[in-house]
Amino acid sequence: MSKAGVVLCRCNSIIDGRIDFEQLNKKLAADKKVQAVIQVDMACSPRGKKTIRELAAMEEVDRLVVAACSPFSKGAVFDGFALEMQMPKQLIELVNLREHCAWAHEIKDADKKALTLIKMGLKKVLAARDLGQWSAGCAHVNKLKCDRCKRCIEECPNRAIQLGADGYPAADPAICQRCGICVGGCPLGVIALPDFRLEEVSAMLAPLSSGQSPVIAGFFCNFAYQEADLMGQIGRQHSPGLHIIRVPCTGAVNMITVNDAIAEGIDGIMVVGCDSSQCKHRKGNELAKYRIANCRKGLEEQLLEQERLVYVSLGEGLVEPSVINRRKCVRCGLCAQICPYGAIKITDSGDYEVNARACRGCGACAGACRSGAVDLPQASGGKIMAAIKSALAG
Amino acid sequence: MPPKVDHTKCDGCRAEEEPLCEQICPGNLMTLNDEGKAICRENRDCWDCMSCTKICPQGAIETRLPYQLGYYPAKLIPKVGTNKIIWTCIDINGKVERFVVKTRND
Amino acid sequence: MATKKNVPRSLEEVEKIYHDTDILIIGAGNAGCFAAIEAKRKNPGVKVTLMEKAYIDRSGCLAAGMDAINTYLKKGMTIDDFIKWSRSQAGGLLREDLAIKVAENLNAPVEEWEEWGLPIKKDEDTAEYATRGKWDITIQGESMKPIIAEKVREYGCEVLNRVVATNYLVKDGKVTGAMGFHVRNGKMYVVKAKATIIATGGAAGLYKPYTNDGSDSHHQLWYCPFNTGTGYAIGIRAGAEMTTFEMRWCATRTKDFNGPIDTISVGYKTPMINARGEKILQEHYAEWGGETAPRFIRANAPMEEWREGRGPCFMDTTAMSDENIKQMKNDYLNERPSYVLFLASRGQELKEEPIEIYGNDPYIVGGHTASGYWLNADDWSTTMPGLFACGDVAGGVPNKFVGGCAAEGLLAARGAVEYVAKCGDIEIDEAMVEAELERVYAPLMRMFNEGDGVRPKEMEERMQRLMDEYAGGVHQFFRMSEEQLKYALKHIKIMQDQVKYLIAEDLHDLMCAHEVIDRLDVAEVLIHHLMYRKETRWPGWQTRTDFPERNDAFDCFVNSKRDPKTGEVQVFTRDYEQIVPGDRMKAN
Repeated sequence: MSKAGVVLCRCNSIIDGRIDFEQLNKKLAADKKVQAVIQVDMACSPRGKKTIRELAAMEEVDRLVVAACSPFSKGAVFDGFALEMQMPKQLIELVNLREHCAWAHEIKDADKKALTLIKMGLKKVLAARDLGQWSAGCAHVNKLKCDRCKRCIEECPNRAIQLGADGYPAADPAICQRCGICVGGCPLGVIALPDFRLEEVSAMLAPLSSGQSPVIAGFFCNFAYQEADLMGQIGRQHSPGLHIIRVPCTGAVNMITVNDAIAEGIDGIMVVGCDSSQCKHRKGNELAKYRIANCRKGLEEQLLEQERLVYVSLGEGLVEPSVINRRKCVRCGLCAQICPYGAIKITDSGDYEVNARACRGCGACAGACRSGAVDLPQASGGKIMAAIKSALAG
Repeated sequence: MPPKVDHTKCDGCRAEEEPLCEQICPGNLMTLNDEGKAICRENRDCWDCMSCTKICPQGAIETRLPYQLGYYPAKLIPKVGTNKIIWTCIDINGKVERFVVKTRND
Repeated sequence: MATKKNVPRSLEEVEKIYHDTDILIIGAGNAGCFAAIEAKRKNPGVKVTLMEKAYIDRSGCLAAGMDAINTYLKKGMTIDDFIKWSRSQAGGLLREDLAIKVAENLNAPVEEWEEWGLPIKKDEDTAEYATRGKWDITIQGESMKPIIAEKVREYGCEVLNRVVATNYLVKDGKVTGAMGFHVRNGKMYVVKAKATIIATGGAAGLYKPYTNDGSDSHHQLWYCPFNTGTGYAIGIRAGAEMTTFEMRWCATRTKDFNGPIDTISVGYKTPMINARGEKILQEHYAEWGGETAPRFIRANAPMEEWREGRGPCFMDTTAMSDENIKQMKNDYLNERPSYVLFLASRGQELKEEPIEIYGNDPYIVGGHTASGYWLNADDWSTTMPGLFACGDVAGGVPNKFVGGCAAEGLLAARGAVEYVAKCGDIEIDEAMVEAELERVYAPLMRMFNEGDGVRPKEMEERMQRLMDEYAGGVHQFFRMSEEQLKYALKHIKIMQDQVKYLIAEDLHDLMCAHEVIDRLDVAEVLIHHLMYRKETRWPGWQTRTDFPERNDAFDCFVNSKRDPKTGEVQVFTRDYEQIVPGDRMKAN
């Protein structure tokens, strides 16, 4: 039987005062599925890692929950650790006790929240199973359950999924961006990413449902999750009832997960991501909104409030759009052709115009323009030359 | 019995050659009309197994009982999760009952 | 619409797909899936193909799920106990040799199903399966069909979805595969197989259901209306021996909805009462054992009450607790979810209004009674070499239910795998394929060429009313006599001749046409069986008004065989062989 080891990181004593680690330790040690609980001062330090190594080497422990900081802070450290210990990285679950708990809540709330978050991590890591997706390196379709409706092929923004010779869709690891849009759209929920599987996400919902009322499950895309980290870092608090679950893109949120959340009695579900056209995965958020709109109608029909399920856009992802110099532009249209986001269009007057909300600031147009008419303000030709000069001088 | 399809929600499974409801029906009764929307080709032959209702990704299908058997407008709405289904039942008097039915282990 | 698109306009346009396999399983239901899985387990090298007229994940009786396994040997129960009980419920008639083997294999498939993901209620203290009735355990089977469908794929079996089986391939008296057509692309399938396992389930829709008044409730049946007896029909046409068709399954069901009643009666111990509030079984059937009376008594009791003017009858739910009512609805959601909708659409509060019950239209189903193919207990083969049978289509073992049918899947697979190892190369009869091509597509061709004839729905309705009125349907309170049966037979034979006038507009219609053709062939044999047994052994299931008492001259099996060339049905008897000692009419 699988048992987990739990690591409680005090983050060099920074969060000591905010979470009662002794209590936490006691409560977790009593859990039947926990083999051992250890406390470390800094999980990412050599001494910390040594202690964790000993825990992982225990015979009965085959997976770990590391309650520490944001995966965007020290996640890479633990990926490396997994490699070193020859453990699949899917069996180490990082729980964000720092940015999303200790720093974000009052002391009286942080304790209870910490326990809930760790229990969620435990459920997830105990449910972790390889159905082929761990080594796939891309989205993986469970062919035993897939009914070949081909919606994933349709919805993939990168056209990474094709119909194989056996009639089943398969993703190309060379093209797949692991955004999870296919995972979110699959009506049967049979697609998984190497580190994102619907059953594992749903496993987290049971402990979540006993959090502080009103209980809200927040599915934050990578970008939004980092914004939430930032809030914690600058000391902004949020309601302890909000439990943040990281998803690769809001398009990866499947309505099956929403159904599971409602079944668990969770009060509300937030899907948090980018503003309308700023989605890094091009149309993940568009699809998320489409599915959510439909699901909300379903909630109403079930005599549940629509407002329980919301999409929240964070507008800060806007970038300064590229600028077209009309005097230099010869209207060849190459920029419009080359823009991967369809952000440049021809107007009625024949001029080419950049849609500020669609532009992602990649600069492909600036690089392609033969007339030097397009420039990116934050990476203009002038700035680049200045940087090169400075590098050559030094 | 008659599965009623809401054509404002149905997207014909994006006009795939075999939309999900058509694929799953044990009686070969669901199919697409000329506008590419799902319909039941023969209401009287439905067994109300509700496979179509459960599988529609848009939640566009409602299973109803023929008036022979039951009055209007009761509803039974399934919402499928990973290993459970939530059923919401609304009777003709407006009384609401909810059930969570486990469908798979783990 | 796929089925309108790919309609061939001439026989030359029909594309024939030839397929080669080791074991062909016709019907990917409960029994068929277990047969496929077991065949691969016994010999991973054997090629297994399933021919399924719907889609494997939700085809057959388990489409909406199941809320109980009605045959599971719990701790302390023996195989002998099971045989004695089953025998007493079947008027003393069952194939004991077959039943013993089924009983030996009853528990394993259920336990495997649980391992594969099927949730089964456990007793909190003992961690054993929670008991519902003597032989029953409660399961949460909404997804049990997708679970085994996934296993079938996992074991590498090939599934031909949407292919309707129409006849066996027979060469020199051996079954060498089957033929069919694809209901979406219109192609003809010719599947050559060393061994064939028939697992298409039983026959519903032979009789008119009482809710069928030209409205939208034509298929408001208890049994799966898509199980149309094709397995029986193709066996009958090929000359395989059938048994005990006269032991029809006429059961008590929820009125109008025709839904399962065991959930309520066995699961929650609600008594059966009449309009006067009398407990029917205790009051009027004390000599049969009251509440423990055999199944056919329980089945017929409400009908008798109704006839005697003491109806309507009910399962008395008024004394149930709120918790139990909620739990019962939860159980129904696992098996017939629309029953909960039925109660809601009548605003029915079960503590005030009990559940009304009535008999259902008769079905032929070997999982409940002994009707079906006559089998060999060594290897589950039928009387035709190369052909095996399992599940509701197989006869001789009543009270199998879901668990027993799964067990038979295992047994038939073992027989088939051994047979494949020994049989040499097989051939198909091309002349048969050509003849079948013509026969199968005839209704379409007639539509194009003549444009006029009989629609499958019309013939189906005529047959259903005929059977209901003259062959002991529900409107006749299951009663029949020699004269009525003769009349029924005469008209069935007329319709069998009329089949040549059937017209079909598209491929779905073509499937309906063949469902009628198959049902007519089953009905013909059924009537022969009903006529032959000149006694009433199971009142309700087979009530002869001209021979209302039991006659021990018929303490034997009534079997039949149809001559493939002349079409003549021969009916004869086979002796009973008792293995487990004891009074065959008593459970102990």
